[in-house]
Amino acid sequence: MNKILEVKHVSASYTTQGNAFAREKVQIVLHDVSFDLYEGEALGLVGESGSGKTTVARAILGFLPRYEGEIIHHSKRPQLIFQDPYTSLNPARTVGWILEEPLKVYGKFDAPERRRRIIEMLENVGLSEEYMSRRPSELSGGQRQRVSIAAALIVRPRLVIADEPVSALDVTIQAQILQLLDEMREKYGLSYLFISHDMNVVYQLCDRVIVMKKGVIVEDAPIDDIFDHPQHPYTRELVEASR
Amino acid sequence: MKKLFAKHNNWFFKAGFILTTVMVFIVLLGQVWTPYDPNAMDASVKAQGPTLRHLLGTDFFGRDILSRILEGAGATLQIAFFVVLIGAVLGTVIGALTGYFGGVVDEVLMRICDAITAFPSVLLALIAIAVIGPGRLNVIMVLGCVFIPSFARIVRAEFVRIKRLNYISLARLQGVGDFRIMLKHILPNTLPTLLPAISIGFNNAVLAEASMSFLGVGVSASEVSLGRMLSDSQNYILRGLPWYAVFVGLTIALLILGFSLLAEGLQQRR
Amino acid sequence: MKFVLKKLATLLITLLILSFLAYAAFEMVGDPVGMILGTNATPEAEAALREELGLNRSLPVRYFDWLFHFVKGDMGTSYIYRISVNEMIGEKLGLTVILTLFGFGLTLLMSIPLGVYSARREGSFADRALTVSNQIVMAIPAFFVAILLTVIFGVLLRLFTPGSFVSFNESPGRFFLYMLFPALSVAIPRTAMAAKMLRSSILGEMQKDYVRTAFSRGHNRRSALRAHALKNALLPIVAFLATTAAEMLAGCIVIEQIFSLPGIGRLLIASINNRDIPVVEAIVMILAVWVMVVHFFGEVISEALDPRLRS
Repeated sequence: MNKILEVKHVSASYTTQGNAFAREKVQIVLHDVSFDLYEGEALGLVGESGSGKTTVARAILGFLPRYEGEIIHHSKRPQLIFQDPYTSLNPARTVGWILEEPLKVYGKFDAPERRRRIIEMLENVGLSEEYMSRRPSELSGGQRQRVSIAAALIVRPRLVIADEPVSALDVTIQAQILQLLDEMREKYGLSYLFISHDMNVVYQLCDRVIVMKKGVIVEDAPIDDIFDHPQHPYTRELVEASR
Repeated sequence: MKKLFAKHNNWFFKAGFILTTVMVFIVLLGQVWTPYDPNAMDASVKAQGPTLRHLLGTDFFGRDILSRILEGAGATLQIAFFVVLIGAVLGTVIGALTGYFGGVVDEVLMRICDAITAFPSVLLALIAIAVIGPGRLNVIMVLGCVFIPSFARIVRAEFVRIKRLNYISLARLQGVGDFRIMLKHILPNTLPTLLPAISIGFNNAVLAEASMSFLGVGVSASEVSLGRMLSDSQNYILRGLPWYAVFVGLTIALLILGFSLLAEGLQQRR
Repeated sequence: MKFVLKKLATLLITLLILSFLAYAAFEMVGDPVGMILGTNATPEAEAALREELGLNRSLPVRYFDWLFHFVKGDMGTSYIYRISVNEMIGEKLGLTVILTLFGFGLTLLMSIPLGVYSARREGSFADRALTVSNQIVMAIPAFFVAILLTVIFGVLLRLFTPGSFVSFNESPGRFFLYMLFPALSVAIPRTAMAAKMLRSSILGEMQKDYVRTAFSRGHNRRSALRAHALKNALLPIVAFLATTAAEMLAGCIVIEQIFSLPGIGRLLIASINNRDIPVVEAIVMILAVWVMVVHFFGEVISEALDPRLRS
């Protein structure tokens, strides 16, 4: 299998501002994080908040100004799906505009082709053509997340990073969105880096899991091994909590 | 327009919208038709109070005050329009660039803006007019420049807030360039803040022009404007003929009130 | 303390930059020698005047000389009247300060009771009527209030004679009666604004947890309001009052003109029209110092009330 992403020995830290009561100190957020992601793979990245999992995503997407180590992309334009469907869509624009913008910037398609692709993508995520003229404020949380997925996939990325994409949604909607993500992986041969704090959610989608604690990878194993023979005590804790 | 009403369905917005629309309509009408020629003198009706023939009375030369107010209000609104145009456009450009890119230039510019906005705008404009001389064009340029910092501050704050939101990060990931993000992704979201600011800008511009021209440091003596008429009408009060000043003042007050209510309504949702 | 010193340093630097900009700008207005002597003066007379006014030196030299004297309290000599600017400004400044303080005092006196009353009776008919009328009154320019007051109290009721100012020395009683109307003119629109701010600020405070806690401890609404909310509610008002004090001085320029008050504003306008640059410069600097100092105090008081702003 071909690698689509290589993360090599990535470390990151930030310096807290000192004040009258506390001296400034260096806070380590990532320590020597290394893993590979393969084509077509859904890799779960699990840990509690503050474990550094979101920092990993930010480093991969180029949002982290400073880090040590190396990140090698074997695909162009990795896309991101945010947790909060309320701040990830531009409130001043219609769904049609939001989906058309990346195609316009890409610049290779004429107007009818862009429209055809938008409608196709909306149908993919289970929304009809009518939604093109809707604004985000007129949509439910689940619908918004479908639009977010459509917006991420419309540029035909090969790698998609999803940062807790279902944790803001109701349980029934969660299952629908997870199923949609799975279908899209089949259809477009996507690789996922799926960030979550919830082992159950990861279990439904991922092939392999990386467990992080305090900026360090404590375990990296196929999903079944994680659930059946967790090696690290922290992993065991997480698995127990999810039962 | 329909949406604007749905979003701001409050008393202030409705009252401000109606008042502003009516006032602007009357003033625009005055540009093509006035009851009398604003400069025609009629010795038979000198310095009269309101009558059926002259609804707002006449001045010492027997000129129709209503016609003159319409002409003056047109000039004042025109000045206000260009002042707000200069202030809003340049302020938005500066605020957008500094807010989006940040850095040292941003720091320095905002410090200067803070210092400038501490000063009452009429005072700054008076001083500038003292240097470059009176006249309609100078008033427009000076007030336009004086208005830039307040717009720049408002727009900058919005850009700083919005650029951190998730949908802007996503646009960047999709390969949208900086200037396109500023223009097409952020700018439309500043409108809820920018619209009331523009309305307040009209309010302040009318007030500033009136104050400056009233003091004789605004439009030149040969030009018309509400401020100039206010200055003329002073002599009438002292001679016990107050209606001229009252009507000119009322026109200014109603224009300002309309813009101010509109701004308040635009700020309040529901 | 560190905060105060830092603000003080900023204040002085801003004033220094401002004074240079103002000085340089007025120097561009044109050659005062030609303006004073007219076009058909002899070159000798022009040279002599240039010498007398000190205009044969370079701009930075003149600026520092002027600044040095200004700081010492000597504001120079009028081009037109050839008398000391201090003498020209002296009493007039006093009158403008009285008008500003009078107006400011009236604003405080009227707005705090109105704002507190409105907040206490939130939602009542009186509150709603006040809210609407505040919104309208705050949009009325001070000069229109001045015109209305003149017409009502001067022309109709004849409580004072419009245009004939009575000095304090002539008759203190009639002086204050005359000053009441200009002071009301600047105070009324600002009162509406301050009352509106105070109301929403108090209501905002009443929503907060600590006030709710005070209620649950058995305080009644009134004492909870007094004990907790008012102090915090005044905080945003302080900054607003600083702006008010600054704006009021500018507003006084117009008001002085309407009521024919021999204040600093009228002198400024007259000097601008006469191109009497030293007088204009002096007044502009006085106004600038006033505005900056008022804002300085506004910031320091806000900070004293709320240490959280210190960061």
